[in-house]
Amino acid sequence: MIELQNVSIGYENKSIIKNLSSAFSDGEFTCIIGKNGSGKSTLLKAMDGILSYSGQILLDNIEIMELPRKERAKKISYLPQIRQIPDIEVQTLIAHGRFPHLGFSRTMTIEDNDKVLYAADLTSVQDVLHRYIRELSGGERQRVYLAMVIAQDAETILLDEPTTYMDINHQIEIMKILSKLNKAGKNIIMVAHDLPQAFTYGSEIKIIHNGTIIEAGCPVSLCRSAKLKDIFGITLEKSQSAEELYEYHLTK
Amino acid sequence: MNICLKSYILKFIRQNKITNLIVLLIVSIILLIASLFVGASDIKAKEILSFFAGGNVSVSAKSVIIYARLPRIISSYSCGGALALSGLLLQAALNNPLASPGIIGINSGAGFFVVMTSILFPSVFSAKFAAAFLGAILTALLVIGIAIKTRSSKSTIVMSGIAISSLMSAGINAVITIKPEAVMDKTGFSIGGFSSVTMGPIEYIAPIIIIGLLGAYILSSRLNILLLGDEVASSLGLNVSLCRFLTVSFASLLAASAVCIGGLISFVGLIVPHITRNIAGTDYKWLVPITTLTGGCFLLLCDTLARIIFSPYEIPVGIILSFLGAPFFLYLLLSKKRRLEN
Repeated sequence: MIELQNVSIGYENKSIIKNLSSAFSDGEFTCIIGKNGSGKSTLLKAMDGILSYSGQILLDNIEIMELPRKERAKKISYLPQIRQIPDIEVQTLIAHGRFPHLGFSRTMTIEDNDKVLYAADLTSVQDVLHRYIRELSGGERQRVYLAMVIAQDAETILLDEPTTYMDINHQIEIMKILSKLNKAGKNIIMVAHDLPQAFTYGSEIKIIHNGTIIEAGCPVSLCRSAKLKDIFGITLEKSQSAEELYEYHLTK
Repeated sequence: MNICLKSYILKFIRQNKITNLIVLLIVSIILLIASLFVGASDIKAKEILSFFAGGNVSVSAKSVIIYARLPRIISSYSCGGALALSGLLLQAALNNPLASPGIIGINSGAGFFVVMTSILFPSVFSAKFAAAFLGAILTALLVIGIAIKTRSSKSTIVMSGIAISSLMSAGINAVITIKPEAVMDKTGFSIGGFSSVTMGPIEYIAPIIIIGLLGAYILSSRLNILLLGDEVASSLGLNVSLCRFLTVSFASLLAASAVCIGGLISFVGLIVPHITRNIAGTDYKWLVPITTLTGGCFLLLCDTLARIIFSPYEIPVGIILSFLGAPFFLYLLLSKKRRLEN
């Protein structure tokens, strides 16, 4: 469980997250939604210990900044929205996910290799393991990075808009993988920009506005929320037809 | 050449890293031996072979081999390796393909501190080396500090490096003009050359270069992670700031060693890592040794050319490097611009 207590984050004399308190329970697929600049990505970075903050972020009652970096990386993994495209093979990138688990010699054990192959299999990139990342399409690259995060084998996976710039088929593919991971026991915390997608796959929705979480709950309870209407100018409705892509659709 | 064939050949070369390393070792040995046989002085090959076999050799031939060719060959090879590795480390630490000890001002910073120390302690080599290291690391931290403070682009880092390099070079020229005795070979020091090297400093510097090489090798797996960007690297448990600081420190140590021996040699740290990335890919575990060996071969070859191109006169190797390096730098700038436009 991740618990945030009075967390505030700011940089360049600008306050981004203001006195935010919230809890992320184990086993949930949490989607954080909010308008651009509301502090979603900043919150995620702080939860991974990348950004400094005031207040407390507790992982199973231990302050995350007090955990040694590698121990933290074994418990929380993070996939940022913008990533480098290094000139390396797919297998090498996925294997980098094992970095926090390796000793001083950085030698991969059989278990490490198994985790890499499992991650490649889960994200369906096993056929491109020996290709260079630059040679892949955007969707394939995204799956490869996701495979790296899966190989990291952390209990909690933080993802910043993992389906941005992807075509709809690839978006659904990624969401299905995340859903599978969640069912396998991983805690998924994802910043989402696509509301029907977030409400379909998420088990918990948190609405962030002006640096603070203003409402949280399950998709059913939040889909017609007044705050959702205030912020986005829309609400969501459960789709009636099984033919529809998502379980929820936008309404005025 | 057909693009598919070219990429197939490149892939083949990259996948055979042990072969590359062995080939480079063999080439190094061949170059080191071959360069003993060429030079401005007319010594017969038979005499050189006889010298190494322990036979009778004329006094003049003996002194040319011991006091001129051997120190020069060893110093150009080791400085080449050190500078190329320094460039590779800086490019990794700054995530900038245009970074090199010459371009971002590390060489000039080390050089300025060396000439200043030469006035105060003219015959204490260890003081000169300590000053060179201090100058190199202070300049590197200054350039990186500017980059972090201003959140500047990759080109801005290079431009601030060039500005600081010019400032340090002006300082060097001012010191040399006022105190010409500060350096033995003014031209050789300013543009880089090995005409006045002796074995003494090399014996002192060689272990430091080996320390730099070992340090770089230990850091190599972390540099592979740093390649993924700061956020991903941090998320994987890497202490990005510490890794960057250590990388820049080892790069400064290596560059300072080279400056102490050969003066302000530029472009090796820029050209060689670009060549070796094509040979070895981006795995730093392989890049570190391959770049070091390639850098050694490259500078040795250039220096041998500098010795024979206008024989019986010799030119400082820095001139040849500038003729090669300046167009290469422009090529990198233009290809970067093309990539951005695409």
